[in-house]
Amino acid sequence: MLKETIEKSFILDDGIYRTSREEGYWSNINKDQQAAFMADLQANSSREVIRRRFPQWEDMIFNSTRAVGLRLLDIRPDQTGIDYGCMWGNLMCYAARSCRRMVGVDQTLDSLKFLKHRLRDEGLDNCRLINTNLRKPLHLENTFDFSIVNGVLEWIPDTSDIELQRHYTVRGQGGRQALPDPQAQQQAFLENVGLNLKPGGKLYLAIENRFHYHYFLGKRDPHTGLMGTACLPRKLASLVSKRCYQRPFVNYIYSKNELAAMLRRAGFESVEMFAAFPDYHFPQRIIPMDNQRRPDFVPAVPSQPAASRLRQFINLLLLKMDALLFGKLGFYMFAPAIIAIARKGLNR
Amino acid sequence: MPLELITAGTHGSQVALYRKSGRGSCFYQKVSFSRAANQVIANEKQGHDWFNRQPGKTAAVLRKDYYYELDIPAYRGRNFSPSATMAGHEADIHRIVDAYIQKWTTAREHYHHGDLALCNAVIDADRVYLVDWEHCHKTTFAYFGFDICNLLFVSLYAKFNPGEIVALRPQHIACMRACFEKLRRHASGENRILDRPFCRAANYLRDHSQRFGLNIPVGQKFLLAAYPLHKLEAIDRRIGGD
Repeated sequence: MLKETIEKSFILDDGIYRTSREEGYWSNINKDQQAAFMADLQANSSREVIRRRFPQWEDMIFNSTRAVGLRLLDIRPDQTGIDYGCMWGNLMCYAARSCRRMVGVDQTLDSLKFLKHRLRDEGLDNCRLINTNLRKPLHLENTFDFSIVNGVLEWIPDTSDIELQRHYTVRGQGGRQALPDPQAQQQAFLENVGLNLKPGGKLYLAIENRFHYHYFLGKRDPHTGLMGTACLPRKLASLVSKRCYQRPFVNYIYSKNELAAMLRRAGFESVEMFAAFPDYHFPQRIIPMDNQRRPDFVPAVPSQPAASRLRQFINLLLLKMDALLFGKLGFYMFAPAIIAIARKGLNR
Repeated sequence: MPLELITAGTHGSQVALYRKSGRGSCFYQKVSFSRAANQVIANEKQGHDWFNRQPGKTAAVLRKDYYYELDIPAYRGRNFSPSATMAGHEADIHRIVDAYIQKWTTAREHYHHGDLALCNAVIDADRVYLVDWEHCHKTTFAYFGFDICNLLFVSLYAKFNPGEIVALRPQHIACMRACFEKLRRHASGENRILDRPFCRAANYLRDHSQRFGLNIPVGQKFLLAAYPLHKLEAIDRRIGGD
């Protein structure tokens, strides 16, 4: 049934459902590295190739504890799910082992080719892969019991091809179309996600928190590499971005209340918000944003040792701040990242 | 029931611990995130059943799907932070030692907890519960006392200063001496730990590291295994009164 629905809109080409044209590019791997990477995959397992060529991303791609947040979805064996922006499939593979069928959608064809090999290596035969632009409707209405949107929403308004290793050095529009309103793009995407869910279906959405207190202390925005763009008013952030990169700021992230309002506008009835520590990529602690104090809160110690005494001192101060803000005061609105679990209304 | 993630992937394990609470009830869920980590969950179940299980009380419940999951009751009582040290907790340590002796001297089979520390104990008025049995493994009565050595050693470390052991004060020595004297009264003649407790325990860790189910070097997980042997000998000598 799912297969037939997908085949109404997409053509199966070498194991991946596609539209007739290139859909875009977003990857940690540069385009010029992809050909050798793909050739290597023909003769070796996906894990071996990553370990040899990109050992710095092995954990990001294969460490299954990245999927700890998906337990919030309470995935059941009879369910069908979809991962928007699945990339190399870390969360998708975990979900696929817990449910009946998974669909992975990504705009980067090379990422999906890697994922196809990975699924074969890991013996997962209940997944379908779709190469398409996430901004367009999928035409899979009322199909899924759950959706995963992990670190994707903030990139929706960015229509350029992104090679993440070079992203912070590129100046100018870089092939971008001038989008009228980044938030409207994100809202439309969430509405499409909602349409594809069955009534009562759940969305898992993970994103950085705009009000993470580190941003107010000068931490750089992870999407632009600039100080201030995450938390400044949008117009000011755009001025900063235009001055540094000669392009507008489009990677909008949100506070807890802003995100909840967007989800409600997109047709989700119940929205539960969780704070993720130290980030949503490798969560070590996920706490309902209920403002309750948690005396047992243990701040997450940075995984990298401090390079200098000053850095060591700053880290210690931040740990103390974490213990105060989150353990003693319960101010989760200042947490590093947000995980939202939103349920589509039964009558929609 | 609201779900909360308590820890994930600590010390390279592919395991996560959650807390589920609501409507006056609370329990923990330990979940594996890889096939290899399923063994860790099985160890945890074995340890809970061996040490904590009481007739008529809720036991830990194991579900074996692709990934194992274990429901663990939330034991009521006082618990301790990961940075709790020996200072001020001497009476609690003695309660744990008493419970340990009671279990080991009455059980037919023997298991090491594998990672006993104050933060892995819950103490109420009547009894002591031990949690976090990820490194649990079967052993023999000859290694009676190993877990207590680990508990005492970890309790010597200072908060936010994991590389340095605190200066051994007379009250530390007295507490450790009293604990080991209690243990020696119940040990067999074949005991392989208690004549030089910290050295022997460190050797056990190094020689039998595969029993602990680690996927990182033993010295990265256990402070005792990484500590220089000659310094452990010095502590052993001081406890022995030399």
